[in-house]
Amino acid sequence: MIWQFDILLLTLVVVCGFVSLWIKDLMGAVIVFGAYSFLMCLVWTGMGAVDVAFTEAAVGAGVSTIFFIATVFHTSRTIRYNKWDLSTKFFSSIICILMGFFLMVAIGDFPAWGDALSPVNNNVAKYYLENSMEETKVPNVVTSVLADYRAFDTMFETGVVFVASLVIFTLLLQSDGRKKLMKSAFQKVSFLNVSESLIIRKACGLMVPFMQLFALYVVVHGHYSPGGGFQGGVILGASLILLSMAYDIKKVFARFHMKFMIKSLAVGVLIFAGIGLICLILGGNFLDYSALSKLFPSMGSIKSRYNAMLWVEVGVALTVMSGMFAIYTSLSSNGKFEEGL
Amino acid sequence: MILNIISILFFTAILYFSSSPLVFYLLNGLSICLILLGLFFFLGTSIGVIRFPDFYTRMHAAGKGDTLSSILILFGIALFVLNTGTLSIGLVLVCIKILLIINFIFIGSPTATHAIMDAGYGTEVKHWTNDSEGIKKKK
Amino acid sequence: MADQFLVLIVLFPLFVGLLIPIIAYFNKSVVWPLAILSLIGSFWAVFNTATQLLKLDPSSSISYYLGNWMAPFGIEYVVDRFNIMVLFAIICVSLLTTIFAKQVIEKELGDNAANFYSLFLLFITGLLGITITGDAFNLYVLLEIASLTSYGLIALGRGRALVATFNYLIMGSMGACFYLLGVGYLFIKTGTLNMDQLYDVLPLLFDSKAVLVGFVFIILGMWVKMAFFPLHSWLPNAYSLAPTAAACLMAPLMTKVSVYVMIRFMLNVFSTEYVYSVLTINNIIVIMSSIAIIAGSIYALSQKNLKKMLTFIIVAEIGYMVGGVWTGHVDGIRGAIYHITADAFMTLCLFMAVGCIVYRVGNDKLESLKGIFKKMPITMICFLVGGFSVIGIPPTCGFFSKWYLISGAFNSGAWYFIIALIISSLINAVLFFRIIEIGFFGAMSNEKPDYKSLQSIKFNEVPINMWLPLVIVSMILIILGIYTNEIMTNFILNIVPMM
Repeated sequence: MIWQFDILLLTLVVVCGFVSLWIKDLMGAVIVFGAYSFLMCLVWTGMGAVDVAFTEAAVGAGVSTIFFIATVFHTSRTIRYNKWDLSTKFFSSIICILMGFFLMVAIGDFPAWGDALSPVNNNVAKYYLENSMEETKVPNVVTSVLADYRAFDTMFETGVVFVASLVIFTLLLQSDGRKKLMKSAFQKVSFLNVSESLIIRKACGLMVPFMQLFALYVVVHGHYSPGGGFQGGVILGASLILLSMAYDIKKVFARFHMKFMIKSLAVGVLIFAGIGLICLILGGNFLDYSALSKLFPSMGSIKSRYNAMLWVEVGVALTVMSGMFAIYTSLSSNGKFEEGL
Repeated sequence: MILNIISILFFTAILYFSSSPLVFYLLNGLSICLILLGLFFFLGTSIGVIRFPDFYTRMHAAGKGDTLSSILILFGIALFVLNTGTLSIGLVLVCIKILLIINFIFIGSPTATHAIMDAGYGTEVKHWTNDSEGIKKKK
Repeated sequence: MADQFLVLIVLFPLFVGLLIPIIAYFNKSVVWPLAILSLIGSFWAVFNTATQLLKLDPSSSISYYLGNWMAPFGIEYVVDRFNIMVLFAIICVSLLTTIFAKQVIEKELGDNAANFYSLFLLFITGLLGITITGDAFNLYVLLEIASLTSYGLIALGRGRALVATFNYLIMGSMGACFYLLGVGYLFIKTGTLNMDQLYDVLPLLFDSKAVLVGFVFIILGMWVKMAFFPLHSWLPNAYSLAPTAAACLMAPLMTKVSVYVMIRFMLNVFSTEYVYSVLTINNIIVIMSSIAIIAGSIYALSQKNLKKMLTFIIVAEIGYMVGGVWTGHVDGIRGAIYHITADAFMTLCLFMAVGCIVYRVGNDKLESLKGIFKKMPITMICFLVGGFSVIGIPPTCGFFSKWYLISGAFNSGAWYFIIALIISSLINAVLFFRIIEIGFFGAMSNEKPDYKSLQSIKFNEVPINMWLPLVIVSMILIILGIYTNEIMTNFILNIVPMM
């Protein structure tokens, strides 16, 4: 934490936020919003929350920007205001400022940043830091909290990804046919098949294997370094998205078909919940991984927690990967799964 | 790519075999020079993006300058990391990770520039000519 | 097995909800029976939990530690006499809706039916999880599940459902975000997310500004989610344009569960001392809810569309509950808690009946109800029972909850709340008697009844799996009313601390 650097970052974050709201060109707003996410990622890193920063970089700056672009591609690139919109905008900005003011007022009441005596550092977090290594053998406390102490939350977060992808998939599949394509500035590009370029294909072909290898590394190495199922899954999904952008969606579907995609979306969460269910059947509570040592007596309760966490992360990665890809393909092809961006 | 790896191996070997302070200062100086050079190219890139007259020339400045300067800075940082404290496997590993990043920037950045250029050409963005005195007036 | 019932309540619909997209690729016809089976399993778990709980002494609760991590470190499930009632209401409503919804879903959704069932079950999972959890952050995650699935369910409707969903999405995300901010502020000041521990720690921090802001934001978030009057704008369109099955499930449950969360936070996280003594905002909020009641009723009166009318009645009912809780008198709080269950069944009854009418008649305009009593007598009688309950006519449960609310308001001196309740009851009476008039005599009040066309209408009731749940719901309304005293002494009396 260098305070000059922090202030610079925060100013840039605020400026990016305002610019992305004010810009009329939605495409520009999306790009500025990506920059905002990247700056937020730096802020998180500065505060020592490297896992959060990693997720922000992968999800906020990476994949969600692509989703926004895909949406803009199929709707409209510019905003048209009328008087009513402006008045609601004014009204809502007043509410936002009021809320921000309330939140700011209470900040004076907070303990100082990094205060060792503050309640946050002394209650639950202290227990995690002191006992995580003994109880789970996982050095990265973030992973042990996410995948073991509060695994139930993480299971439902994976469920959120599942639900989001399923909703988008279902809605666009339904709306196909009754919705007309709006005119957009991009359509010229899509007719020209820009993605035919050999250079791009070869370069993507070079990059994608390494990306996937790295993603698997992130998933597996989450026990020891920042990362885990969510981040690794997003990177895996991004590699598929990159392929389908360089070639077209059909090319990727040849390897990873739509039906298979929806199934693996559910299977990922089912792996997570299924491990919990096995624990329950073996006589422990739901998601009590130490019960798994009855299946594998050689492991012992601590080692079985360690291993179960790995499988749970794999389940999360599977769901997130197919979720990201499902959302991208539905958005970019308008539910038709033919061309894409 | 290969050049990178060879050079880093070379510097590692130097650090491994000699422990004189001269090597330390030399490597530090080299990394400082590389980073400064990279920053200089970044400045050039920024000026180019602002000052060049049309889309293609701007992309040209951005694509070339950006790639070169980030590679230089990252290489300087790799040397700097190698030079901190006693040489260990961990430091070399960090170095190799930075080298991998360099490689991906080396592939990715020009390809991205090419893709944007191609898209611009495909949508028939007008290019600057000697007599057109800037795009804006013509529009 | 006996100690696992708490988590099984949530697990049954979760697993089947996740399995349905896979199963539907092989066989679409087993989806509906599977959904029913999972809900029956969940009902069985709730029932067993209830029997366990009733053996214990009234103020105790059953806890379940997920992952076997003790309470503040892991996530805790808690069932006490408050949320067992809400759990019963949720599981009964969702089971009856699922039985009811088969034909409607097939008719309205066609190919998307399988994915719809998946979202449907996950929505129920979310609601059950919100109700049963004892952890403030786990509540947020399940709130997200419930909200996301409800956006999907509503957006599958016809016409302008997408626009309505978008409004709901913006408002709902804001509500969830407010809740999260509030929980974050509490976490900074206390370092814990467990509700029991928060209840123990918070009394030391009652003068802290951050705790105040946390409280305000949690309550505001819940107000957005429950569509409390000035924040209600998303509700009418969303619920009236949603597919019938989704509306039948969501209208009774989503808002009531938000009310439950609000009361939970007021009684069991912040104490009654903080809410009623440290903060002195009771009167303002009771006035706000009186306005909400009157405004909701008047809006309802001006609608020509049956579903829209019902959605505005929901807005008014939310005013009942919020106002009842904030009167700060024991009777008011008891009335509000009783009204959560009662209103869930009332709304279900009305929405199901309207679903039946739409299924046969084709639309839900008031004028197309002419002669409906002769055509669909069972549906209309059940509709009337629901209507009487909303008005508050004695054998039904609506009367008793109103009785308690009025007594609470009387004892705390909130006369405006009493006036609002009475006005709303009168307006509701006008609304439902207008429907009786149209349905029986086939005419609005200023037309002459056309008896000839009435005679040509033939008996044309909906299939049995649609009217049977409806009949059961209307029975439940009456049974709840008859056994009010037992419910009060066994469940609600022990929840509310004496003040």
